[in-house]
Amino acid sequence: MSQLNELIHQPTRLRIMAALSALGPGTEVEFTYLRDILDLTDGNLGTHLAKLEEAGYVAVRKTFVGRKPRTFVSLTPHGQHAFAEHLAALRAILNPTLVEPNGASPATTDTQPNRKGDKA
Amino acid sequence: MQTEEIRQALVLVDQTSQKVRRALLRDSFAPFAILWGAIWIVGFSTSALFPAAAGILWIALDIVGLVASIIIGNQYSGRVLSPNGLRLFWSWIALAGYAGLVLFVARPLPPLRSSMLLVIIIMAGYVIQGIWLWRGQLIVGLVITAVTLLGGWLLPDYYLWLMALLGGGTLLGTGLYLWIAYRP
Repeated sequence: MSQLNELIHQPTRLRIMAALSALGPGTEVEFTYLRDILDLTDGNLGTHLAKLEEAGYVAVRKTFVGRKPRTFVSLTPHGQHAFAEHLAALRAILNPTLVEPNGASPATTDTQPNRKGDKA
Repeated sequence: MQTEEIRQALVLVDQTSQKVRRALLRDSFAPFAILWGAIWIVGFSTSALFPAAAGILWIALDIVGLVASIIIGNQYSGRVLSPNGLRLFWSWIALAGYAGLVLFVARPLPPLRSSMLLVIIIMAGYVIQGIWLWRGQLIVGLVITAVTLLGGWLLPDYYLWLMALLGGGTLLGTGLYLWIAYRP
């Protein structure tokens, strides 16, 4: 059964997850590139990424190119799954006749926050 | 949770996904199209004006284009690391190698036929990549292929100018359009 994921549902985090998902599996994006596309500040993006990383939804890799530090961000398989589940839950609420491919019933509308790292 | 809130969340996801895809397309395609469009315009028009210098001119332009392509590719791949990016890079290297082999096997060819063959092979790469990634690239490939065939067979006297204006112009125009219209 798909459940809404409160951690992902926050608008900025929803945009981050949507952006990373659109990049495709296995793709890493530089922090500044993601910041520019989403039109966020360094601090704002960093704060939300930290929460998503803590939940295991994104991976953050810090590296150096020459002496310049660079940070790359990617969606983890767990994050991809959680995001897909969250979208399925949203769509199912809008259209309750939708039945998931595995035959499960449509999403619940439980708005209680998920615990950090919960599977959605 | 209100239905309107959910609808807005889904719209936000769609808008963000589309914005990312457009940014990727712009950054991975437009600089190369602008670069090679400009090279074609300079190369073909200068070849029409100074046919005797065409050989050495194209060698110089191709070297400039390859070096610039590698620099642009490195800048882009330094920001977005995709498993498909490296595959695409090697696909184009392979296509360039095979184009060289075809020209070698088919020699001796008149300069006009060599040029047509090379352009058609490169546009085959555009068409195939366009089928997989972006319909616009497919259309660019088909348009330039048509210009090459029609110009080479029906208007050979104007072939170089056609390739400069319509071939190079199509590449440059598409690149500039993507660069401006798909700005995040």
